[in-house]
Amino acid sequence: MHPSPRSYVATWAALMLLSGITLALARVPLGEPGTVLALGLASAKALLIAVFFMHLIEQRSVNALFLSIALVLVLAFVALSAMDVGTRGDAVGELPAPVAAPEPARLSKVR
Amino acid sequence: MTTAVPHPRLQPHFEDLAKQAHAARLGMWLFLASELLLFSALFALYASYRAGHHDVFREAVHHTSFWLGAAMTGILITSSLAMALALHAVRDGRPDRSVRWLCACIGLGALFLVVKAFEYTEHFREGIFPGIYYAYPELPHPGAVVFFTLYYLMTGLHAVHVIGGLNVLGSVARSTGRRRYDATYHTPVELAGLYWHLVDMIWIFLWPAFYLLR
Amino acid sequence: MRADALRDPGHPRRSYLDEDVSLRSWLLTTDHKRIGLLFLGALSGTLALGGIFALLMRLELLSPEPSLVEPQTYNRLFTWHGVIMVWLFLIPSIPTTLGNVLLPIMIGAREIAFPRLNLASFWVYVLGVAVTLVGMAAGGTDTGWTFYPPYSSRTPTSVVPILMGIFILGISSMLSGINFIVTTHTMRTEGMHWLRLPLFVWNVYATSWIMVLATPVLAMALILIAVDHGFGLGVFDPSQGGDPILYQHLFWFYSHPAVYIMILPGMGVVGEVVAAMAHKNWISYEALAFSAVGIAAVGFLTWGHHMFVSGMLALDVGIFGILSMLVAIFSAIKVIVWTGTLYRGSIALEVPLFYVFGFLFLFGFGGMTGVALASTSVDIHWHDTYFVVGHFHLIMVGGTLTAFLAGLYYWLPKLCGRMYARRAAFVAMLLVVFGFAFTFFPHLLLGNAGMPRRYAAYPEEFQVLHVISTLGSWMLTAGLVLAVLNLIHGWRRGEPADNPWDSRGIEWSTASPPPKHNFAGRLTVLDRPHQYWADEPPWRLE
Repeated sequence: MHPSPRSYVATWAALMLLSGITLALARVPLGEPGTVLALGLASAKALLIAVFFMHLIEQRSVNALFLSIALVLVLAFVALSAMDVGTRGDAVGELPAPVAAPEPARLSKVR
Repeated sequence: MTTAVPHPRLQPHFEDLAKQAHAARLGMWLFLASELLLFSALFALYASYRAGHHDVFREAVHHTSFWLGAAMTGILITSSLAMALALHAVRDGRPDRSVRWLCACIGLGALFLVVKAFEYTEHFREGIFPGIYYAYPELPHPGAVVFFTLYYLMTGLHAVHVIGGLNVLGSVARSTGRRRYDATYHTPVELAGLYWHLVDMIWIFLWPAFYLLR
Repeated sequence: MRADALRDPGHPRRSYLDEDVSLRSWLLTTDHKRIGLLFLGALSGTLALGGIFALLMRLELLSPEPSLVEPQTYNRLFTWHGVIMVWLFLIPSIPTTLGNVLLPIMIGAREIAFPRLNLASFWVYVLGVAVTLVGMAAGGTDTGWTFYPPYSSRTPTSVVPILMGIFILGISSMLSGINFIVTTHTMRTEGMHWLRLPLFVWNVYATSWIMVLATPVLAMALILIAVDHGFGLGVFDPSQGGDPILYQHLFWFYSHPAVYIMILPGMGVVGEVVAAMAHKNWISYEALAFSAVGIAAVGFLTWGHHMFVSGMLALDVGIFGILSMLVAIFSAIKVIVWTGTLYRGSIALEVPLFYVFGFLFLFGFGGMTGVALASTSVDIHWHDTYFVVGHFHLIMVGGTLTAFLAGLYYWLPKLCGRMYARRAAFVAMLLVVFGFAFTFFPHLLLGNAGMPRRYAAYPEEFQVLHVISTLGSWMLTAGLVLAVLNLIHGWRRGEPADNPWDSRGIEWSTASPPPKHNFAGRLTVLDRPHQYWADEPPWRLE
């Protein structure tokens, strides 16, 4: 039922391998696809840690559900915020002509 | 059914140890989820600023230590292995072996911090400080300032979590050595392990963000 | 008989109140019911404090010019009012009081999952309140409860202690949330399937998810302001490559779901009270349960509607607008189901139900003004005006506070075995509901006419509405004071009562007040709560 020491070592080896690949890829100028790839490799490593080292594979699925909920939320948050800043300054067509300002309200003398 | 003496570690409001352990684990996963959200705020800042200062961020990554970053990654992954083996040992009823693996994990965690301290010192010597103290002549752009401020904030927050983790692991190792945990009850070791693996997981995303995405 | 129960540990009517009455036993209790009462005491204090600042603001606003206080002081007043009401009162309100007392009982459990963590959540709360108050005593801050940079990084006022206090309060909030979620998952009694959970439990459960997942983001946002203010690490400072709008993303990512933390438990109370007072099954249990989860889930994705005028891309604005309207659909479903449950029910015209009527009316307006504000084009006119102030007070006070009072009155017999004095309670309710209406409906008109929020001075033509609002605030205060006195009087000297509503909520299966471990025997649940069509209630206690 519990993973054996061998499976832990195998997980470790996979993690080191994936890290090595990530390292090698970092030296190659890949541009945007490189970022996606690095994030994908990091996600794969995180998954290995969660499933094997953190024992999600042998535990009740509700634990994995909790982790998944958090991850979905993190993704939505990071994506929507970055989308705002990343698109800052993108104009949406011509601005309309300015409208004449209305009469200012009568404010009493402020101390 | 025999009227067995309840396990000394069983709390009165739980039916049995298995339920109690499950509840503890579930609570720990919730705490870990909250930690993920804590770091996600900073990752959201990183992603947003990277989108806004794209080229400067790429350039700035060249100024962190490629090989120290790789070393720290290897150290943490190995420390996670040690932690997993420590839990396995105590589940197997071998507390002494567990203590040895826990010490290995703590040692690797401490090594991580030493490398990080060395790294920070190197940065300080070059004038790379966070915020208004930034004085790095090679990269004067404001985008670089925010990159390095985030670098210190995120790796710093992570390091704080490592320090906290080492404290917890130390206390767990002490208790394991005193035979307070065994094959039937080892929840604190398990929970400490979950925390430590999370710390490793977060580093796995910090690593490309600050050392590799050039 | 109470004296007998106090003396005799084996007395059949011995309750959680009779077990060890020393101060130490109360302050160090691990009994979830007592912890709920500790919170109730503390929260009465913070409500009063936040209310005092509100009354001072309303006094200032009686005249168009700054009369009572300098504008700078006024800025501190609305900051203190906001910080206290949001973090020291509303966020903990129903979950830590009624939630702590009732959630374990409602799922048939003997205790909450982590009793010592529960006690910790109380003392961490007290610490957070203390630190915040220290900050206020040191002069407080004038940034508004929203702490927007760049001003929050540059203000000469003592903003850091208040930020630290809120941070500590956030920890308390998360501890409660973790406890409620784990308890609901692991400590349900025999027969208590998920689709038999009381609606109050569904709503507090959904609330707890928001508490656990959203609060850390607030913690980070506030820490970042603190380190900028204290150490110049200006992560939101353009001169250091930063962007102040990103603070708003981080802040509102928490603070919008926070408003669902504040309203969902109230909705849970309304669901329970409606079924009991109509003596009728909910017309759709699933609609009420799933809409709670829907509000929590979709509510996480609507934060951008606080930032419509910040310069976001039109696409983002549109997405947030649509999602904000979507989340309102869940609230509307709830209102329809509650009303439908009341329709043709055997209505008991009791004070909890009257508070629910007040809730339906006021929350209805609150919800509708919310949907209106979600329409981006109109929001441009209303943003940062009194229209927004009216909207959120309709929800927070007209909604949450009214529901809180409904719950306290409905469950008073459960907590202490006594009933309140009905006539005084009814008068208090009238003062609260009408006082609220007079205080806050003028805000909608003021905001629409252009009165901006957070201003001590205003044009003369707005004075009439402001005076009405201030008079309303006195009426509301009188009602609240009378309600609190009435509840305390009921606790100490009310007529003994066990289940005056003849309610078939699960919590009424046990004694009022309950024994220390909630149930005298083992509870088996046979059906959903509030089954009024069947001859027997939906439980078996042996």
